[in-house]
Amino acid sequence: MKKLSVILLASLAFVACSDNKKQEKELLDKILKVHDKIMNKDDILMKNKMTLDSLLKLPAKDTAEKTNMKAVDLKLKAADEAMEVWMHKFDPDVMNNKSHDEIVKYYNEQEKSIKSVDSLMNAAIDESTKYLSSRSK
Amino acid sequence: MRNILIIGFAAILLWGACKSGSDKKALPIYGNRKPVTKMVDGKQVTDTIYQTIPPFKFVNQYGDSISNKTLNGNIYVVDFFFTTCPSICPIMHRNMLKVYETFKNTGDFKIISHTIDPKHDSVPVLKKYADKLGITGNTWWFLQGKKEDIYTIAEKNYLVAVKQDSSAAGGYIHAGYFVLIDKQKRIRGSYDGTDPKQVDQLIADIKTLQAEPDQMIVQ
Repeated sequence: MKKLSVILLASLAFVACSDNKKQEKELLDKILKVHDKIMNKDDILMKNKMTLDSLLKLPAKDTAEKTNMKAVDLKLKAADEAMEVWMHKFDPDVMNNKSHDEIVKYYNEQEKSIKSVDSLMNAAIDESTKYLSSRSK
Repeated sequence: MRNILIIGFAAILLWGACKSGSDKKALPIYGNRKPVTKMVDGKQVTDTIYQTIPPFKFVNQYGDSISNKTLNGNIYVVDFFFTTCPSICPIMHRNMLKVYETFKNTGDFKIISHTIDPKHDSVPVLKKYADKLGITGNTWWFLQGKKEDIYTIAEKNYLVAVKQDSSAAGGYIHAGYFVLIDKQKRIRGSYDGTDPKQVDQLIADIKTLQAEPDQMIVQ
């Protein structure tokens, strides 16, 4: 009987452990999904930024216009940098040998910060795309 | 019943034979093209000019400057990655290692991997990354340069074929493509670097290109 309860306990612990691992993996997958989505948008961000940069190099005809352009350009730069900062800091390996709770906490924080990068990027891309299309009209 | 089986078997054999025959056909040439007419020996001849990779200059993991000229006479494969990429890049480069191992001792082949995160991926960082993968010598270069230059050459050149095939907007540079360039610097194929089957196709296509007779270098 005692033997049975040991086995039961061990299998319970095993199930709990694999559940933990599953949860961690799901959290990581969620983060990577946002990350890949952002990276896909990076093409558009860079394209808009390069267009703006070349426009900014032209001699200024209208200083107000140029200030405006510069503000849009800076937003793109900030979004790009925010993404880079996240990328350089994020490392799932730092969580090796950490407890399940610590890992979940880390992933939750990371998810939050990558999502804020995502909205920063969306806003900068939207604004610059609108700006550039209004100029070409 | 037996007859049907034999016929079926013969058909499969035949089909297999045909298929291996068609594998030998030349690879397509991608990118923009324009016809040119010129006079040869007093006769008007129409020729096609294919899009080729324009001049570029980047720095590799050893700190050496690598330009389009350094790659003259080579077939090469290009991809885009960054060392801190947590998702697809490790898979891509695990697959690329197979390409590297297959061709590292042939003299006319190179791999160039452009980092799209040059601020972080400095020359020493790239060297460390190459060491970790077990890359030595001068077959596989990890290249660093201005982010704008990398994105421009990716979008206007290496990935034009990918864009022709896809209707989605944006997102090619991080999609894990391997692009095959021939000795004349023309685009001959693009492959999903995360898919081992497509990478096997790339290896087969490189062999096809190596067997292609050398033509005049178009510049």
